[in-house]
Amino acid sequence: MQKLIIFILMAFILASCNKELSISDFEDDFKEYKSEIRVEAILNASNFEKSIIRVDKTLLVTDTSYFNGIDDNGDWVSFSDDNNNGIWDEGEALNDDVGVLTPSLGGPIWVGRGNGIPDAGEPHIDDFAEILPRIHDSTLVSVELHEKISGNLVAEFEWKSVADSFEVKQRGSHADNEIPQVYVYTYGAYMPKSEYANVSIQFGTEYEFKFETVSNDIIHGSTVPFPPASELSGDSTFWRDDTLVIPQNSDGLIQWTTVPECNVNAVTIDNITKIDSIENIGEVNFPSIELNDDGRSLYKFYTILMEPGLYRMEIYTLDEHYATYSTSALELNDVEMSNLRNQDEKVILGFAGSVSYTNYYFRIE
Amino acid sequence: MKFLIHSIIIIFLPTSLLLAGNIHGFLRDADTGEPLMYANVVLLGTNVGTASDNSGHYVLTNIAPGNYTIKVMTMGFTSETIDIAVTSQSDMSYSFQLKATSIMGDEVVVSAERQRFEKKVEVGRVNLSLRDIKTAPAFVEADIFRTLQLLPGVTSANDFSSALVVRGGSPDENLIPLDGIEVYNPSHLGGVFSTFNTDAISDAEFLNGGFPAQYGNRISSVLNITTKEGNSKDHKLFDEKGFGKYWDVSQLGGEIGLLSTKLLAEGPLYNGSWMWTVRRTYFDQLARIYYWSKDEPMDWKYYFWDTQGKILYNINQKSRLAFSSFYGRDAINFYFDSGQKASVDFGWDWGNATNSLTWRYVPNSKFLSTMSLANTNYQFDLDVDFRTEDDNGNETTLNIIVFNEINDWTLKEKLDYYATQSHTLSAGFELKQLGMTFIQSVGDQTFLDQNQKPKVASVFLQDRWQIGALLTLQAGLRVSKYSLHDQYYIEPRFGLKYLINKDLAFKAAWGKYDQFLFIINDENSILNIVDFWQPITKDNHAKSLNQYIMGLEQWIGNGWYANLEAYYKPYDNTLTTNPDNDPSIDSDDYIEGTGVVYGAEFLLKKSSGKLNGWIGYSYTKSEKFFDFNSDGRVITSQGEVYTPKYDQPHTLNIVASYTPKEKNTYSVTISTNSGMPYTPVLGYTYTQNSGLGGTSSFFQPYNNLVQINGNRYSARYPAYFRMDVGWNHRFNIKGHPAVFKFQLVNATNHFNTFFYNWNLEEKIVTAVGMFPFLPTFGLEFKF
Repeated sequence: MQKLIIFILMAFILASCNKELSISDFEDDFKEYKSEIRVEAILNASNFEKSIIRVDKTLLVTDTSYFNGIDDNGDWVSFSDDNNNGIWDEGEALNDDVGVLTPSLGGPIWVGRGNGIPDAGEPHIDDFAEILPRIHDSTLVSVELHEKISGNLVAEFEWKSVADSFEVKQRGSHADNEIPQVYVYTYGAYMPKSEYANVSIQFGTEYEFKFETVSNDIIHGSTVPFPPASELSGDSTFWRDDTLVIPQNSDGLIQWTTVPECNVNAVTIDNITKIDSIENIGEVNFPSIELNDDGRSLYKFYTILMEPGLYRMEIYTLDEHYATYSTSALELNDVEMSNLRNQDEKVILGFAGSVSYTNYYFRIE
Repeated sequence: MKFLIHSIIIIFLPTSLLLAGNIHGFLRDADTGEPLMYANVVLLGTNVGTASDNSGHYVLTNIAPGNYTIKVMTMGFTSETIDIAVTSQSDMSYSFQLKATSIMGDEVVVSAERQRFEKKVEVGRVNLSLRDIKTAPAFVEADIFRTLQLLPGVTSANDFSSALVVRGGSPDENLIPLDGIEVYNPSHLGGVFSTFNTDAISDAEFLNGGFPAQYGNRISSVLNITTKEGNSKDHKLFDEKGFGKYWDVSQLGGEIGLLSTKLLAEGPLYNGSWMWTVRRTYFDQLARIYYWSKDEPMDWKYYFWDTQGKILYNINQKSRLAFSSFYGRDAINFYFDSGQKASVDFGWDWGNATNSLTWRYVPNSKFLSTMSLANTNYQFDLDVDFRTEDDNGNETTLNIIVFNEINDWTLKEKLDYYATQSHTLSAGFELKQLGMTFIQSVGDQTFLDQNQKPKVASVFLQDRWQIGALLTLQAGLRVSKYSLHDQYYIEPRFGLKYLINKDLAFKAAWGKYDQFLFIINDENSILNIVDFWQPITKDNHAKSLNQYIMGLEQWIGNGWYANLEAYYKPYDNTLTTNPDNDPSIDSDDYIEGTGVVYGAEFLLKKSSGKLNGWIGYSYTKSEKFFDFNSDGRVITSQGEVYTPKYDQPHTLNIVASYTPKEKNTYSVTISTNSGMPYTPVLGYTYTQNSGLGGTSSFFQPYNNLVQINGNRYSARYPAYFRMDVGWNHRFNIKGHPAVFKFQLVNATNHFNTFFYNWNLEEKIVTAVGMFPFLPTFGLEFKF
């Protein structure tokens, strides 16, 4: 009883600290705002056919149709009612009907588990498969890439409803729902038409994206691709064929460089456990914080907490605009955050940028 | 011209007064030995008189030879008279010890207030008595910062912060000397508690603008805190002979509160006195009860402690040494074990350590010299140990350290020269050697190892010039050299006070102010647990502003006092963190901008009677101008002209305490003000950006759903309202005085919004509130 009183007292005080409000209470803040497009145009200078332009509509805070707790695309799967008694019984597969882990006085509990109806928070409810097709804008009249100085057409782009994919870990379907599962989502975007797949991009040359919208807006933005990262090394490391070997008793530091104008790399690391088994163990935007003796931007990475084994490191070198867009804390509609403008020089959310790519193998032993 | 020449002669060649004599001395409480501040000292039958300062020191200069009677008086004490003979060029010292009478203590306060009204030139000056601080309802315990926040022109960022926002200035613009030592992070628990133990404070003088040339390196305000001198008279353990001649205890007191306990002890020391106080919180112990109620292990703890002491030693009648010391530390620890052969041991502590030695020398009635050598150290130390163990039992550890330190050695001198009855000159210097360290390391590798040692050297000269009975001028000049910059910083300061009649004064001030250190916390962050101090870099200009202030002071009588002031503060330069910072370039970490703050304040205060307190209202308007995107233009629609986070145009505070009989005091504090600004949300979009608070991924372009914001700080939270009530009940525990304190914080349980948390997916906005209704209590005792 004594414990209960203390707990209730504390819960009362904590409960007084928060209040749930309706979004409509803030109408004065956003009533003038209209949905607009956000464009992320990325020229892949190492592999042009992988260039991609994501065009999406922004969401209004009042639009409740996106996160509505309803299975809009009909891919949610209820529990397997093996004995046809209409309720979920222990031993029957839950599938997507796993419920939602909800805090309670006695610790977190699953709410809506095996109830036969979709609940907000369950797999395949309000997920990317529902939302992305609705926010994509595939209505652009033309999408082109030109050389900035000459004005020559470099490539035309077309809409592809399955342009690329990404993975999301989520507590999900089936019996063992405590363990996050990997869901793969595809998304649509503009990509080079097939006849331009083999276009060669020159580092240091300025390229300009041009888009025409159905409302006859002409949106443009340019980029200068940087060469990919190079000079992978480490203090106590050595090369064995194409693999950098890092002794486990060393400081675990590896480093590489890029041109000095570049200061952000995106890095992903895969652990190659077997010849056909790759496990992604991390990805990060990597800033350079110093120049090396040759005046090149230097990037440092510590492997000290990593298990012994063979790894592949992919390094993406971002151009100035992509780097700013990825890391800056400026507002999205700031004139320096986005280099995209329409014909009236109005800022369009997003950026036009470029990326180059290289990969290295290293082994910790 | 004739007037000017005459003035120069008065200042530098007081030949007409060469035959005059001078008198000086100290006034003390006969029962405790503590100084009597702002007591009257007059020569009967003449119009010559003065008041003691906050160390009890008084000076009467240029008295014509003859026989006089000195009378010393202050309300609440018996007056003393003594006959003296002033001879040509004599210099006499007379110190007095006055006995307390049964007159109510509030009249002593009134007397002191009146003296300050008559003698002090500084505009924007408020002196808080210990009673002001201790009778106002408090959160957990009486707190000087919380009381200051109830004065017009002073606000706080929120309930959780005791940091002072003075006339729109950021908290780092306030100079807070404790016995003359600068304290850099004067709060605990991210600002919930101030560093200073109120029981150890004898005087708190707050100058919320227009402060004179003796203060520098801050641009908004000065809170000058003097700790009490220990009671040197009462001998509890020994008598005045034998060992008691060298050391004894005169008083022991303390307070047991809901979250902390503090003790204070004081007593005589050989030719002097000592005072020591200590406080420790027990959040960690209360949390332990909570976890016990839930049958869960507690793997974290937070607490803070502080201790403060002062030792006085009178070398002789002319010289006195004072050693003052403060140590305080906050500590957070937690240990997380994943149960899968991996663990995290997190340790984070920060705090201040200050020590100062002050030598006060009064060679004669003309001079008073105060020299001090002080060291203040602020440290922030984050230490995280990760440990993993593989299947073979091999252990790998990784240690992450973030360390920030300011080590400030200051040598300063202030020499007061009582030139004539009209002129008091003060001159001095301040030499500051700073050690600023900032280290970030992972394992054996150090990413950042900044160790800067900037110096600040300053000299100042100021003159307080009494022109007739009605007009007082205070003119000063401060010149500073900051070692990272080539230029000299020249700061003229002027103040005047004109008595329109004996109870009404007009006052005005103008001054230029520069600052060489600042806090780099992100302006947009909701709550800062600790402060990161940095020197102004060589690539940036000092923070700089001008202050223009004018006002009226009205002494109404019977303890009533009113003050009306208006001010205008244009910032020539201010700094903030650069949102578009390039990590590879050191010089773009901060960007410079300008700003302006103006406003008006009204204070009506009653300091006597059964009912006392004050009503304060202030109006403030502030704007900042920053070229955040460095495109060479400052554009309103880009959020580059904005109302800063601390802007609260209207603030009204009512503080009242009622003591119908000696045993009980009832108090109430009502605060209401305009809501603080916030940046409104317009819409949402998916983005790869990681700088806007999300956890984006290059490889997962739809991972981050971020807000599209409206103009910076263009919307406001609902108006703030809070009413606290308190009850102090005095009684005796076996003959020893004690006070039981009971407070209801936010008695009406009004919901005051701290910030909004938007969750589009759940279609709700959660308003996170400040202090809810909260009862607190404590017991204060003295032996």
